[in-house]
Amino acid sequence: MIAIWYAVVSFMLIVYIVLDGRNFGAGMLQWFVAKTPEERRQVIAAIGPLWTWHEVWLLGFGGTLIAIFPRLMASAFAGYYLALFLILWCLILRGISLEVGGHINDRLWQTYWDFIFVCSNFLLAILFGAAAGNVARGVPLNADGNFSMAFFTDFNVRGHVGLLDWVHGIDCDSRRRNAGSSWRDVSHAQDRRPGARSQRKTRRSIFGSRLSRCFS
Amino acid sequence: MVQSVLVDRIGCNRCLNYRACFWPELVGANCEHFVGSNFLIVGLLATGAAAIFPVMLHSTLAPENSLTAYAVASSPTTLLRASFWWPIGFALAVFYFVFISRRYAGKVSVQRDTQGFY
Repeated sequence: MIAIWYAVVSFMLIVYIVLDGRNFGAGMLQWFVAKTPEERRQVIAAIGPLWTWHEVWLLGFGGTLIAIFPRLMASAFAGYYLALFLILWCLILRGISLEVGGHINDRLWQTYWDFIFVCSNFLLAILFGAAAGNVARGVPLNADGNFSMAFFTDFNVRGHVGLLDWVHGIDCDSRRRNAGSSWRDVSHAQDRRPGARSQRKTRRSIFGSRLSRCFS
Repeated sequence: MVQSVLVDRIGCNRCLNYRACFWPELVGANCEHFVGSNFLIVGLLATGAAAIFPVMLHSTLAPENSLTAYAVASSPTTLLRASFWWPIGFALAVFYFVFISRRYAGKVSVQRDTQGFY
């Protein structure tokens, strides 16, 4: 019986991922495949009438999860609180941008909502991916079934990790030890030094090259 | 190619005969590729879900703290009640699926969408 309900819940989540994944892709690629307002309108028209239908499966998944596995829902929602609220906001903003983005024939208005649309789709894909990754990696559940994770710490996968910490090869610990107890201390201390701006640029380029090496 | 083979292997060509119901604009190779891609994603996710069962949330502190499906499930009474209301909700969701698919089937048209104008 439990296995059947597990299959039912998994089925609803899979249907949502397959259907709404198409919307995420269309939203993320909107700026790359559509150059003119007409083309952007066409991309939105491809998913505009369907996105509500796709989100029905997310609601169905959530409702079934609450009813069948309430303790899991309680633990996961408490632990992933910030990430889930960000997901909720992104879903809301995506819906608003789809519904009201074309209602005023003004270039600034449309560009603004196009920007919101693309950003919310990117964030949704990242957050859902991070959530799935954390389910596979595991979370620091205690004996009471509760856990607490930072949204991100230093993006490193070693030690005390946050939800978005998935990048190999960044050694931030040594910097912390040298300059202060946290990133804020590091940045504030370096802002006061002469030539801090150029150092920041150099550090960003090092970070970018390491990031690209991780993904290559 | 792999997806087409996958579709052939698992006998989904019969299902594709019903494609006109949902995606009339997709015919021939396009339809097979589309359905094959979807089946590939569904297969990967379903395999992942089956592989982690019964652990639903793995604990990195101690394995015994992990939440399993058996430990976090509702009472048998709730599960029994859910077996009555869930099929009704599922039927409504499928009805909405078929209705919207048929209503907006065909090539994308800017004139036909309901999201306003540019």
